[in-house]
Amino acid sequence: MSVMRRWAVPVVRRLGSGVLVLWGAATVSFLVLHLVPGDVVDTVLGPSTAATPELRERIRADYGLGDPLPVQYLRQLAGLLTGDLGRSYQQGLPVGDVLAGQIGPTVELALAATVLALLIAFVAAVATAGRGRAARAVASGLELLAVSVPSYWLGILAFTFLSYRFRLLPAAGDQGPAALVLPALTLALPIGGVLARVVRQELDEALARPFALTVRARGATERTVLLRHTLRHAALPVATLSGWVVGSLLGGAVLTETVFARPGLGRVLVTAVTSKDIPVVTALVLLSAAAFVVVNLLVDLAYLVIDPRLRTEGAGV
Amino acid sequence: MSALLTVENLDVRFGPRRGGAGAAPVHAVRDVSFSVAAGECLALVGESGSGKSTVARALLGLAGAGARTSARTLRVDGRDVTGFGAREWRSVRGRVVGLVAQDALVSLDPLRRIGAEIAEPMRLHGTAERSRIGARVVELLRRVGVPDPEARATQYPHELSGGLRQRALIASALAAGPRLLIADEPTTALDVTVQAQILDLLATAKEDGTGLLLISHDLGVVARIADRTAVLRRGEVVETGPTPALLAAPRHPYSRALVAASVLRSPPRAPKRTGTVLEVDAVSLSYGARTAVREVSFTLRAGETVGLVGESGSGKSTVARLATGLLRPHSGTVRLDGEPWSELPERLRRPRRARIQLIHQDPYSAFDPRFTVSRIIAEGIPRHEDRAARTRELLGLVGLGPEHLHRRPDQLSGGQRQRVAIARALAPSPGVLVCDEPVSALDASVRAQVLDLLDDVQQRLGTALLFVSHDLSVIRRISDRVLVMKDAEVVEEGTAEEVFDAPRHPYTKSLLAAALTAGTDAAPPGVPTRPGTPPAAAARPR
Amino acid sequence: MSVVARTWGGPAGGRVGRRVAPAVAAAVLVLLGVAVVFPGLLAPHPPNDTDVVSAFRPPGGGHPFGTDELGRDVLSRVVYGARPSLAIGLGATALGVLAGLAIGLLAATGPRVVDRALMRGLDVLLAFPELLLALLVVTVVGSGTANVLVAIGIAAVPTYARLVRGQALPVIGSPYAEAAVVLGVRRPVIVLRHVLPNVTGPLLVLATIGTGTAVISGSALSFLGLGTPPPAAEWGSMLSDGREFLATAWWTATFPGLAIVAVVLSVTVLVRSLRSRTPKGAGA
Repeated sequence: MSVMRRWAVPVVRRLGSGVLVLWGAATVSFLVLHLVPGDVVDTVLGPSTAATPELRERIRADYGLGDPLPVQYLRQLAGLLTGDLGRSYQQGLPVGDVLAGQIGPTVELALAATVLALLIAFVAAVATAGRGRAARAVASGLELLAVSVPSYWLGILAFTFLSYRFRLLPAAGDQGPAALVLPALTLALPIGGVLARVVRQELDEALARPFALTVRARGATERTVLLRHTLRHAALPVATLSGWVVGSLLGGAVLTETVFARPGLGRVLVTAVTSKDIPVVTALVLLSAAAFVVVNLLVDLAYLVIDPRLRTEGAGV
Repeated sequence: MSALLTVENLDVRFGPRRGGAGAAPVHAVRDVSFSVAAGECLALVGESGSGKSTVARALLGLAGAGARTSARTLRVDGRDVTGFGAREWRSVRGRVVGLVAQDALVSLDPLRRIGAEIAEPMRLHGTAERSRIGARVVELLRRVGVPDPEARATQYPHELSGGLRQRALIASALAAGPRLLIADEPTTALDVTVQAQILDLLATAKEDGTGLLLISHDLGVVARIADRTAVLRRGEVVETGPTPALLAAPRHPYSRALVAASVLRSPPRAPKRTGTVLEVDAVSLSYGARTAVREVSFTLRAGETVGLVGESGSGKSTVARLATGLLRPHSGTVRLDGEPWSELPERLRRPRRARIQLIHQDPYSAFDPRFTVSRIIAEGIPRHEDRAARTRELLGLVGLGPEHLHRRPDQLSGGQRQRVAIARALAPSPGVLVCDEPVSALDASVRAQVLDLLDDVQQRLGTALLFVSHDLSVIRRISDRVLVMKDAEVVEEGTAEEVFDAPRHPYTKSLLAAALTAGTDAAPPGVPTRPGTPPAAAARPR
Repeated sequence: MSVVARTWGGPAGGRVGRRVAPAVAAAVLVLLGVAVVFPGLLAPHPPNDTDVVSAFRPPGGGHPFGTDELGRDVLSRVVYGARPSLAIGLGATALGVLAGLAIGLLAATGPRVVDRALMRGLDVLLAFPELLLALLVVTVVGSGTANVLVAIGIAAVPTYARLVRGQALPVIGSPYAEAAVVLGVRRPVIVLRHVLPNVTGPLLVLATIGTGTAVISGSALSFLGLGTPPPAAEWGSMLSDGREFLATAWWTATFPGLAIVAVVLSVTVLVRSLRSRTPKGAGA
């Protein structure tokens, strides 16, 4: 009973605030995108089309553009609740159909990059935490480089030289796992660089805390101290950064997909932004906000698993 | 009696080997020699920075990465450890020598269960069969007086009270059956009553034949348990001897000063009591379901000191904040100089704030780290006064010179900081000074000086003091009248003589019984605080 | 962005970290300053002079960084490209920091209702990834250097605001702020005298590194064709143009990329070295 309450209360509270954030995101994107100057009908018609006033009027009615803003707003919210994301101005198709085929490759890329980034971070940090100066200096320098290099530029260089010139790896398109290696690495490097540093700082800090002295005084090896005790502490700040990681993955996907000519949501977004295809942009923005909310929720739960102190009633994150 | 631990000419240095770049090398421990026999307790006493914790760590081979340790003899349980490598040291730690560190809240891994923490030494050293470890954990918890050990083993450190946590920490130190226990300030973070229980527990371990090296700054703790005492000063042992003899007749000047400072003597005082300055009338404050202060009433007259004593969580600091007008009572009133105070809006209170000032426990965090002493004090000086002249006058009043004007808080010692804090509080010429644990963070010698200073200020300026402390000896030293708080209520009130010499409430009696004093006449009255007596197990409110 | 800044704002260690690297970084930044103010001093050619005959010249001779597909001197374009790239980096950061400071201080020191409302709002904005938020703004205001500056600046506001609030709250609750209240100091004065100065130190460190990240973001938007329009020289758009020819003329996209790396690295290295020299207690 108390176990149920212990877990149910925080979960429900976080779910509620997640829904609030999504609603806010929908509202903000609706407001912002209705500030776009220019007539939407022109976007729908595409360039160099001379349309009769009657046709323009029909399109306006078709997309419900003549209705007052509150009505359009409520219709959009209602649509979201029923899974209807509207119709693309550019392609005339339902937004859901436009996005459907593109989600897979992006998710695949993001997941591969996450795994790689975590691998880079923890391997680098565990190998160098509490070690001598030389190892740390090298690791620190590499991490610094990883966050200072624009990843898309690195991607371009890798793409050109490894794939195009020397044909070591396939680069373009979406053909199997081999084609995933370079894009995922490009996306993972800057994230891994930041995480590695965070994990190492946290490990070093935990190794210097009083409880680490207690563990050493029991006769434990440094490896035991590191793996059985401090690594859990280092996992906490990584969890805190998950929101940032999601953002970096989605933002990075836009660039990586463009560089490697991969299909995916990122490229759809770039096209939609250039052509002011508002329903598609809105849908993508909401989708990323939803991803953010879901990941944060999962991370909050992970927090409760990792840190028993947060399970105490009344304690917030 | 064969020595369990023999230390001869122990040296520990930190910093660069030769005069290279960076900070000068620090000689933290020099030429220290002592020994501990089985079933004996040796206390290593010193003030902060004396190197006593460094000695403790050096004995475990854990002095730190930058430390260079050398000794003519370092013998633990018959083994010469001077040439030990990492692997050999690990076989000593936990198995031969156990460590009990200061605060179990941070010394136990907060993310692991109590049971796992106690099991770890047994797993590491293989002292118990895997299948028997669970039973051994329960057995150990029971041995250190933890009630309901099966349930406790599955809890996390933050879910236990301070006393139970410290017991669990001791259980984990004892788990692999070490013959020597190093206890580094094992009771410093605890309330007096709990402190006494933990010391009794350590005494039991000693009677069972374990050697005990006790590290402490508190002569009261030492007097209660140590057979012999070594006084450490700036890394050197200045005096060693049987504890009663050393405390009764210290030979070295430093030991003498230390003993003198640990016994606070009140100077004869004749308070010039005049009108009432502060009236607290039945104030209550609660946070949600928890009552922090319930129906507390008292008055404070000009020139007198009221001491407010209680253990952590008793609500005494909240009373200080209610009096200062930093918190608003949910019911009851506070009147200042006979006029309304607590119910006023901050806008109306501000012009009269100069009348009542506050001194914090930790002066370091009470100063803006970027400010110099002159700016810190100037903040409290009314605008129409000559700031430069008044700042110097205030510095002089608290015994500091103009050379301190341009220092920052981190360039001052603890005692100097508290003097600056007092100067700032006196700047607007208040009628009431509320002191919230003003000497708890200070070494004994400095503590005595700061108390003298407060006394002196009161004599000269006629300021009334509301003095909050957990420390009975400090309260006795400074107060004219005393209030004893427990669980949000005042349980006893009276003059200092009445409360200390003839306490009426059972709680006051138990507090006085648990109090540790270093004086020769200080054999504590035998109030039964057996380790088996379960203390309140509820987690302390934070 | 502030995540990057927070993790890299720590002090540097080691001899290289303490002596050599900061000197090199400072030299790079001085050079960059010259490139922004007097590009003519460093550029051997005008940035937009096309010369189809000498297209795709490899580095060497009169063109240390080679020439691009229109025969323009790559070095000159990298030098002139410093101005829009840094304008975006500095401008966006200034915008983000100022707005973040105002919002963060208001949230930390204002009534609880205001704090709640502002934080909820920031939560919503934080749910948008920074680059997506910038793209959203570009969708509304259109492409171009100034618009990209605004877009990246707005996208950075939530992180700075949270940071300021996070730094300000402990100061507001600190014993020394309490001491000021007890001394009768008014709240706005406490904010100006104690809170603001204790927030600006860390904020400046983060803003400096944030500038580097903003340079990367700006170049990324230009790379996507949403930033500085051609033919003006800008590092991101140079990268975008050059990548088609990268296999045959590696220099066209390599040097603008190196310029970005040099800026971001130098800024980070310099901040870390300043950080490790600041005495304890004077900063954070």
